[in-house]
Amino acid sequence: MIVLSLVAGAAAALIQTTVLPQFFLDAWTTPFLPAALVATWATTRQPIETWRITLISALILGVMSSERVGWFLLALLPISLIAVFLHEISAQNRHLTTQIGRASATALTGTICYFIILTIVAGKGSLLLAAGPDIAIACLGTMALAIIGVLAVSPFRKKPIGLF
Amino acid sequence: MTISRNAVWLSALFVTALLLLAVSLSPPAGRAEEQTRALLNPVVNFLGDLTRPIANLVLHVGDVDNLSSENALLRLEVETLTSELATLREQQQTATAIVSLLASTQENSPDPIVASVLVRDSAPGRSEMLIDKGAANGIRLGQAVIGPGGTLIGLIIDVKESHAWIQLLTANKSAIAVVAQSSRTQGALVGTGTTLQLELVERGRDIAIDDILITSSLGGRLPSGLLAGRVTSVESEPQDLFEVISVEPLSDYQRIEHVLILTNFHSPNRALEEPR
Repeated sequence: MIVLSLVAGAAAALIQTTVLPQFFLDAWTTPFLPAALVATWATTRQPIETWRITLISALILGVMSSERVGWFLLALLPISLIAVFLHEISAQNRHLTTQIGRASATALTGTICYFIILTIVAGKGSLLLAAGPDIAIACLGTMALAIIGVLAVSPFRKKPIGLF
Repeated sequence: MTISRNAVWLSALFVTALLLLAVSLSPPAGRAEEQTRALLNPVVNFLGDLTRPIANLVLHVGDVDNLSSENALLRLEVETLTSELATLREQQQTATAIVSLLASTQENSPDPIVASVLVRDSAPGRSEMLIDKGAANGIRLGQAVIGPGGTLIGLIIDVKESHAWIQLLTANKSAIAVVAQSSRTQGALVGTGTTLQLELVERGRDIAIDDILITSSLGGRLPSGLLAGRVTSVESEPQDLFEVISVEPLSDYQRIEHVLILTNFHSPNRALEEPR
């Protein structure tokens, strides 16, 4: 599973830098695939496994950008942190709607954190307010991807054994 | 137990991020980054080539009607331009004779370099592009980059051995000297992060919508006469000292696949900075 998570993280980052910019011409409105992947993975498996996805995605995004790799890692950390937090407060509830809610919240807040951190370190914090509607589109796209991910994976998950 | 393991991961990655930030400006880190990028290039090119036709189809599927009417207008424009071309050809012959005389007095300079765009920076707030040519191909800092239609799209801001980064004119830190082609009004073409603005044009100066802006030799950073943008709006309040002028780029920066780098222009500033 370690290898699979690393491959998934690398693939998400590569698709983010090569495929998505061709469909979303404005960087501000582009859904953030690594956040959607972390949200899906944390919801359908264990949040602790998402840290290595965060690491590999940040490394590849950083290499394919003129921004420093370290900033990408710092910008991605909150996504896994939020996933862990939400898992801890609702771990007992394994209902599908709860999982979708948890994945959506992780994707939403994680993408917002990513945009805020990278825009500020790029020295363009003043653009954030003006880009608010565009960032909202990116967040909705990321949430949608996370929800689709949860719905796609949930049929294959093992059901907990018990009387009730 | 899980919480403590998560805390270990978080701390480890936080420290890693700080370490990466600390070493990122050192030459070995730059080399490692470049080698990794070179390693990923085949995958990046493969994914780009694979999805580009699909993206074009998806993005333009609803444009057929618009494209038809646009095509008719363009045909009309082509006819007009063809007649203008005949006149210009006559003038070109005269100009060619003069240029050949001038060229014989200048030193031999290398040809412009054609480069492919590998990646558009996906980080928010960045208006930069990575190209597949670098110092080994003669790319140097500050060289002008030409896009589709022969328009200036940006400048080289970072050069590695086999790659280089272009800062687009729309980037927040970008500023170049330009002049309006018709009225010769001078100003500074400044990037706002997403679009362009013409600044330092005093109120009442002769500038209008649809004026074409070309680069000025003022400042010595760029060759003069390169197409840079088109004025889309001119506004000012009675109390303003300067006009507020919006400018649109002459080519779609998002769709650029190949660029031309002008290597044969030598900035007088650079010549002054070089040790004698």
